[in-house]
Amino acid sequence: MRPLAFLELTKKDLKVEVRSKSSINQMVLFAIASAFIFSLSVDAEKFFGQILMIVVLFSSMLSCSATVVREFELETVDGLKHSMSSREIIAGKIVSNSLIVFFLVLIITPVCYALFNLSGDFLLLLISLLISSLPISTTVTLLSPLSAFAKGREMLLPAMLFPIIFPVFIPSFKLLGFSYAGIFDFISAMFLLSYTGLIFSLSLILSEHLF
Amino acid sequence: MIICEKVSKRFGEKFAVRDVSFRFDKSLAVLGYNGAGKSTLAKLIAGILKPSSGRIEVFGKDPYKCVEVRRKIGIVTHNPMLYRELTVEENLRFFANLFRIEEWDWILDELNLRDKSNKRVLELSRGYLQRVAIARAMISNPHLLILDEAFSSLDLEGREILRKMIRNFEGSILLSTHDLEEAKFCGKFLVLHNGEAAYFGESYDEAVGILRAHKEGSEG
Repeated sequence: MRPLAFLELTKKDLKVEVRSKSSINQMVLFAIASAFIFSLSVDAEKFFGQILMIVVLFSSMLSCSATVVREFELETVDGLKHSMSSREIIAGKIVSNSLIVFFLVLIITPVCYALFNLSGDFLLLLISLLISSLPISTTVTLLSPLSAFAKGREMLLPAMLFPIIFPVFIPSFKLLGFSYAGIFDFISAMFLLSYTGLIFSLSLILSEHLF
Repeated sequence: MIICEKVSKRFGEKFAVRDVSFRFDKSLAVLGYNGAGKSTLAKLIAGILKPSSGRIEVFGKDPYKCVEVRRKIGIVTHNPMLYRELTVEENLRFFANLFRIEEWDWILDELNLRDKSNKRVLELSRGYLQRVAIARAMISNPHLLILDEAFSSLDLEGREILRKMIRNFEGSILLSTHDLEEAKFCGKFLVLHNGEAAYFGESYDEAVGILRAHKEGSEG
């Protein structure tokens, strides 16, 4: 695998995303709207970790799958297959999707901080949410090509995603909860990073069947 | 050398290509009417599709399994495989970077695209879109060029440019078309009918005769 090749794909994906703005706008609007509704309906200060994860999970599903599915729908994936290995394609897609989700986290964290009247450690919360978002963006990218040609792909993606992403929820809630109190939960963070590494490796192994 | 041995491709129950065998070195024209299986065969040889059965070998390797072989193939299909949000230059630069090619902008002059280079692909007409698709395919200096109905949306100038590029091209060419005039220069001819090879040989007249007979047969 040539590292520069998948970074070229990442660069191109981000450029296309910035130009089209379709996924980013949709993702940010959805995230802000859901955070606003949650802030009015539940004790947001108590459940902010869970709420943040729900917002990031559903927003990531919208944007990360769109960047992959679009390549299949416009058949541009055929052009990529001619110039890159399938490993390079999946690696590039994971990196670009993770950066797009990072962008969302950078926007949504201060918004939630204000809406939920939070007073904990902002920087630690931001770092924890960035770490928690990594397994989500990686898993959604892995599963998106599988659902690209399915008739009910809007249903199929969550149905495949939830069982795989389930082990991530508890460590994420713990990481976010502790970070609010100013403590960095190293074990949960390591679990989330290892889980991301596992899904990333699985994506590379399965890449031949995905692209 | 490009070799196909008893290659079939099935989509569900329907065979798009069935038991097709041929081999060529320099140039092959794949002739057939709409739905004959020309585009599927082009994608199979390019390594974009996996054959359901049979063996494909391009420069000694299976193109579906080997990315190094795919990187030696340039393909133009009905779909330009370009990013609509990016400009012509950004698209071509992206592919050139993937191939590690630094000197690539000669292709803009070759296809008379210089004044369109800052336009987004979605703003281009069908003919110019096809020119950019040809530029994308040629940018890597491929050893095998697959042109699937590449002349179809080009204007007279575009057709002349493409003919000139084909004349000067030193690698192998697979030209898939239903325009018989464009196929004349090829050394070998394959006629496809309903996904099956109706003729494979070196005679243009014989290939055209069989193609016309099949058309009359299906109409009569």
